[in-house]
Amino acid sequence: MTEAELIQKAQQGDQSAFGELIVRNESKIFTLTLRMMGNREDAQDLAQEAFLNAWRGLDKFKGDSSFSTWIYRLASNACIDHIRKAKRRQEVMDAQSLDDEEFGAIQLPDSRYDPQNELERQELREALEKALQTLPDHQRQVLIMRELSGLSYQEIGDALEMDIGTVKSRISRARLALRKLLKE
Amino acid sequence: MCDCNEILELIALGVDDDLTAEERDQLNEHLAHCPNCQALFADLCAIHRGMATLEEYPAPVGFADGVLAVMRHEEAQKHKVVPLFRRRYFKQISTVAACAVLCVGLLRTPLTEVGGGMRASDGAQPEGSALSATMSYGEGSADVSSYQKSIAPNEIVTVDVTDADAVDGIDTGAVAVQNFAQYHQTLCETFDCNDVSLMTVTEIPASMVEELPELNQWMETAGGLPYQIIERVRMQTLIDSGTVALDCYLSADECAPSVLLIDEK
Repeated sequence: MTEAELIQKAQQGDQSAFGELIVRNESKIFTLTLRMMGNREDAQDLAQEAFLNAWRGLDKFKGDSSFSTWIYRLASNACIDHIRKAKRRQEVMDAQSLDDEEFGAIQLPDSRYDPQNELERQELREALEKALQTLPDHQRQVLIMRELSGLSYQEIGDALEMDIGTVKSRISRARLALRKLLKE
Repeated sequence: MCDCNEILELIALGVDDDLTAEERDQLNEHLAHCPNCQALFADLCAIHRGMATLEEYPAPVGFADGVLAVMRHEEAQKHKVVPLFRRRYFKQISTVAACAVLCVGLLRTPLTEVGGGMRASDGAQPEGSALSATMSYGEGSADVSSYQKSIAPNEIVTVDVTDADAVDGIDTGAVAVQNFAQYHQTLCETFDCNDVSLMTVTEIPASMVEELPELNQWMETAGGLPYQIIERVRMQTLIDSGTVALDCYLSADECAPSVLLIDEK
């Protein structure tokens, strides 16, 4: 059955059709939430929340994009909301100090390591995955939003209530940190 | 020629392929004579490409079934639970069920004969309905004749609407509506009238009083019967003004539906 047919059935209240849509998209969504949150428990909760939101708002889905794209955006939003709430719980001073640190001078690493070719290899992909999870949450999240969710700097700034300079700085820092981790 | 730190922003934009032509020229000019930045740019581009090649994690076993289970639960709740009672403030009213009282006013078709004209006037409780089987005065030892002779056209009685499904004093709502419908039908039959007006009395905090119009609108929509929620303060006003008088309220652990007599002051 095509995605369009499944959506049509689901919009008529067919839960098993929606179940098939879940099965077809669950790994992609879980991967996003896991990379964003960095732990399986939050990832599973937020992935579930995304699908439940999709089910509740299915009548609003007009098919302008694919279901996959739509649910991906819902999952991103669920993660962003979660992060935003967590951020508000943090001490403002802590967040400020992190941002200040990011604007400091950057030491450019040397060029002995060349990941351009290495990344073609599976072990290096695994290393990148591992390095990604080693990044501080605030760096990994903006990087995932940029790289995997495809959000613009402005969209990330709006979503996380940060100025665009901080977003750029944070993403740049995250990439440099990844490079450094890959060299270790 | 730019400083390496100054060129870093262009490198970042270059990785995202978000450079203007002028910026691209500036970056290329710097990279042409700076091996470190050249390597950095290459590495970051490789990482950028590598991110796109990352594999997916499999969803936890049973993930889809878990989501479907929540969906089914929500669907079931949608039919069983009256939205009114899912409101956060209603959940705060732990004594709603215990203290809810229906005020029944007989309308439209006055009883043809006071007392003896009522169906229940032969001294037996009306049969054939859920309500009649549980109608009682107080805790079940009601003097039905007292109940009967006190009822008059347009008189108001109170009916406790505490439901058997009330958990810790919180009414889940669904049974309340079902019971209301039963009450309505049975009371109409019992009192041989076409309609009754029903009011629930709850201990709504003063802060929630402004929500009453909305709640009542919902009751009208969901129940389709003329229920009206009023706050206890207003009920007390009615009592004080002599419009109605309540014999008693049921305590929190009394869950059997009862008919309470209201005598005019």
